[in-house]
Amino acid sequence: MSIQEAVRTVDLVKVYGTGDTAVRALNGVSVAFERGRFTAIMGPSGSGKSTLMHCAAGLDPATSGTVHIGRTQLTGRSDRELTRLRRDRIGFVFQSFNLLPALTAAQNIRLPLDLAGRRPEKDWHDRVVGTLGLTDRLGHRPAQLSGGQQQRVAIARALLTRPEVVFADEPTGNLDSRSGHGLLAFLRRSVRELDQTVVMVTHDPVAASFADRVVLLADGRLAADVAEPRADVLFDHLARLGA
Amino acid sequence: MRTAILAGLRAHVRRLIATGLAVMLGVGFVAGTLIFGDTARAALFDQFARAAKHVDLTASGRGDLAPSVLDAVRALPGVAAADGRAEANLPLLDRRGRLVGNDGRAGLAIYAGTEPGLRPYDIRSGRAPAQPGEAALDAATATQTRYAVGDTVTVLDPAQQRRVLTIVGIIGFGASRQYADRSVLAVTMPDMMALAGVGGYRSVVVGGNGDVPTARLSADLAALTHADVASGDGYRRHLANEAIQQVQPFLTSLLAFAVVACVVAAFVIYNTFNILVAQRSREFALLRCVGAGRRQVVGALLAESAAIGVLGALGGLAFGCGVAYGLFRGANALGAGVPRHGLVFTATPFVVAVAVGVVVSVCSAVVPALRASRVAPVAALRTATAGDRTTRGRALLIGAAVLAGAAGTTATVVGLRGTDPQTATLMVMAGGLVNFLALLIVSPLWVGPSVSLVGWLPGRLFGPTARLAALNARRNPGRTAATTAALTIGVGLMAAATVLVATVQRTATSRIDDAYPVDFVLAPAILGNGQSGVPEDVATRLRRRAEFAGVWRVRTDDATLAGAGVHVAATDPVGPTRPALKAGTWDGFGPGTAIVSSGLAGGAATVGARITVRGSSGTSVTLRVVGVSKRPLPLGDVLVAWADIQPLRSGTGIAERDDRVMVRAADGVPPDRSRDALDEVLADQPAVTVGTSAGWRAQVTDAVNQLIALVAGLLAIAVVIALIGLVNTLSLSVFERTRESAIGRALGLTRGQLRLMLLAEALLMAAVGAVVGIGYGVLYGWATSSVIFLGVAPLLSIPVVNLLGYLGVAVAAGALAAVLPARHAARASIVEAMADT
Repeated sequence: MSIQEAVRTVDLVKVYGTGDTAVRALNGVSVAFERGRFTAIMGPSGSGKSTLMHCAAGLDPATSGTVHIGRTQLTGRSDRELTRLRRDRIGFVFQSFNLLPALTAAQNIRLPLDLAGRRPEKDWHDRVVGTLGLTDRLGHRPAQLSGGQQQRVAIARALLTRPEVVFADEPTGNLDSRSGHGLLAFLRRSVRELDQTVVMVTHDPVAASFADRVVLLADGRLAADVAEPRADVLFDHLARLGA
Repeated sequence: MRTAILAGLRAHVRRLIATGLAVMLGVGFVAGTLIFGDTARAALFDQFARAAKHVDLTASGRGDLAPSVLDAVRALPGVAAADGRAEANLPLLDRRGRLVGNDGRAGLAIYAGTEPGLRPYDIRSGRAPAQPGEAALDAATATQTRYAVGDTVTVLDPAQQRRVLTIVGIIGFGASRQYADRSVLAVTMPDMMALAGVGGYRSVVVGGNGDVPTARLSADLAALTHADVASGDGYRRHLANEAIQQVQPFLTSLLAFAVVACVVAAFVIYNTFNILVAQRSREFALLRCVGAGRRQVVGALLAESAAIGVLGALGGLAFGCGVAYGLFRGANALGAGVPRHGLVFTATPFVVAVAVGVVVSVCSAVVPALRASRVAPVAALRTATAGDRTTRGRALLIGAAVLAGAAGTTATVVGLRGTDPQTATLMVMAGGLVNFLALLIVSPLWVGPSVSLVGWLPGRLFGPTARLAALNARRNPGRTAATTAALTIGVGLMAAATVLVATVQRTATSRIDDAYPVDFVLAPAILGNGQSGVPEDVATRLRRRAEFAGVWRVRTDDATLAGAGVHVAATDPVGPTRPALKAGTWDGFGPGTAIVSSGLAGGAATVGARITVRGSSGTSVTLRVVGVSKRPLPLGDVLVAWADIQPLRSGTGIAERDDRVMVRAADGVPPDRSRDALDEVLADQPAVTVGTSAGWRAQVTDAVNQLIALVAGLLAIAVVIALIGLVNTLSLSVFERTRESAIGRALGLTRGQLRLMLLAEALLMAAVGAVVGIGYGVLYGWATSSVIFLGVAPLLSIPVVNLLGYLGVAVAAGALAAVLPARHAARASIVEAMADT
């Protein structure tokens, strides 16, 4: 396995339920996400894109197949080991309800480090906060921030631990298109300027077009792999997949 | 709408279980107390019905009935059997020649009767006395003194002469507490007259043979005896009611505790409904969207609460049976002496339980229901955000709290300055209640800062997890406040009762030490024959013994001073201590002068004042006040010289007798030897009792510890309900924060940290509730005890160990309350939890 790969899955299978009601959400997915790049996972509803992310991030155990984060294999690890791995080496950005309402933006950003009992590196913290344009918002509580600002706080929180990979699950899902585009631009800047690895799940071709590479899923299988995507090309792909 | 209510109930069954449980416990306590009361009453009635079952009529004279009357009654047509009843004091001596009986009260003699069917007692062994010189002894005294059938016993006749009787039987009185703690000898009528000095029967009991209608027999009996005639049923009811009087205060206080339990349950219900309403606000908005009116929303929630009230009450009835059974065991362990009896179910507990259950839960749901009806229909279309209370609402709250606080504080202060203990106590208690209300109204404002304060140390020790917990606990101050308030009530009452009782103990023991700073106090037994007092020569003989360093005689009189009753005392010699004076000196104390208590009214408590005391003999003495004591004088309000007390006193032979003799052993004389010497001197004085201050102190301490345990036990149920509320709040919060916990877990919060966080949250809430409760309880426990015992200048005592114990129990129970919700939260799958909306 190349050191250039942040995440690799091999023959990943995920089955929900048993017997007649069994659903094969992932049906043998092998894919690698490179370091320092912004990759999008796309597909129509029910294609398995969220499941792929959950399994790759160690949130949900796979039925079979393997997942590596860097050199570490996730399969068969205990909850405690997975939790520690998530805390130290993976960052998350979710669609909504992302921040703990009782904490300020600054406290939310520092939470993973606090949980680990580590102190943030001052320079890195300031760079992340500056890149995301949050410097004057740190004392606010989530309720006092706009949706786009909340998601930027979530991205800052994900980046502060210098994770090997940041998984973003429909980060623009709850935003209007203007703040959505702004957020995606921030996400791309983080990848370029801070040299981070981001894997984003989305169903929106316009959002996906901000990525360096797009992986398309359909019916639990890899359907296409597009480098330097344009939105119109992605629309065509999705149309062909019957979405 | 009914479909919506039923669906709502079904969907929230698990979330409502705790509410039902709170109702059940509160109602169970009420129902249990009522069932216990009914059963105790039935048991006592049964017992007396059996004891007096052959009695159809009783005739009780205003004076004694001559013995010859009984023969005339027996000769009446329609009388199957008749017998007399008589009762008088008859002091009984134990094997060492000392008086038997507690509290210095002499024993009793009752007429043994000649009709086996009409006896007021049952024979445990041996037989009833048949001729003079024979007696039957009650079983409790027989056990205590180890007298048995065949023994001879010594009694004192009215002239204090020793007389001897032979025990021929041991008797019992069933459930009757009439003769509790007194020795009872059943003897023949000639002995009643000769030994106990009775002149005749107190009453005559009659069993009819059915030949003559009871009404005519009753009239005949009345004509013959010139006495009040009552039916056997009335007689039995009278006896049973007398016994129930003994149980009644216990029942009343139980009901008071049950009410406290219900109040705490109301808090739990209020809180649960509030949380559920907050969680279901979108659901209500949706109902409003599809056309439900405000009234319908309120109605739906109230119907839901009524259903819970009914179900909880039914559960409470079942629980109440258990409580009633437990009360039986507990009451009898405390010596209430309620006979065994199957539980009795009347309609009252049933109706009361259901009514209490429904009223408590519906009333507690009113405010949440109104809040639910205010949810705007458009809220269904928005993502729910927890709204803060408006500034106006907050200002209103503070205003109400300030008003209540001012009223409560005024009542308290006025009460504390009052002079009449009863009204002062009422004022202070009312003030405490109103102030507590004020505290509750503003609790959403102070509960957050208190949690931070209490959470500071754990935050230091356990890092971010505990800090997060403190933040979570502050997040919804109203909810945290209501949760802790339930605990505060229970713990606060426990603390107040403990302080009160401990203050009584400290004050009482200190009074014992003040009044009797000696080793022994000799006092006359109450023989009930007018003769009272310790013979003069006892003190004289004690002074001759080398074992004793000091002997003080005490004589007192209930006199009047300016129309008010006043207790006058004198000792010979002056002593044993000289209480500290606020004004004047002891130097001038002698014949014609007095030292008075500071509390004495009417300007008498001034040095130099001249007071005129009118004794019980009718003689008046004018005295000059030479000293005013700091604390109430231990022996009486007015202390006079030995020479001045004599003219004030009246009564048969009182003049030559001492009311008390205080004795202090010489240095180096062991207690055994001084006690032996005392017994030697008193060998011919069986009616003089010996008390030791050590013994009295032990008695007070025992009684106080029992009382504390009882109160803590009874209030524990309120604390248990409060803890159920804590579990409930935590579970609902966990449910509400499912997504949040999942995010935390995704970000690297381990299961252990998540559990620790909830544990810390529970501990913080429990600690705040307990600390506030204890603080409030100590404050008002002190305030109440200082006015209840206004006259005796109580000494405040704060039993720190007990109070810390309550805190420990509350915190430990808080930890217990977190177990289930924490397990539930930690078990949830992250992905599923995040999908939950």
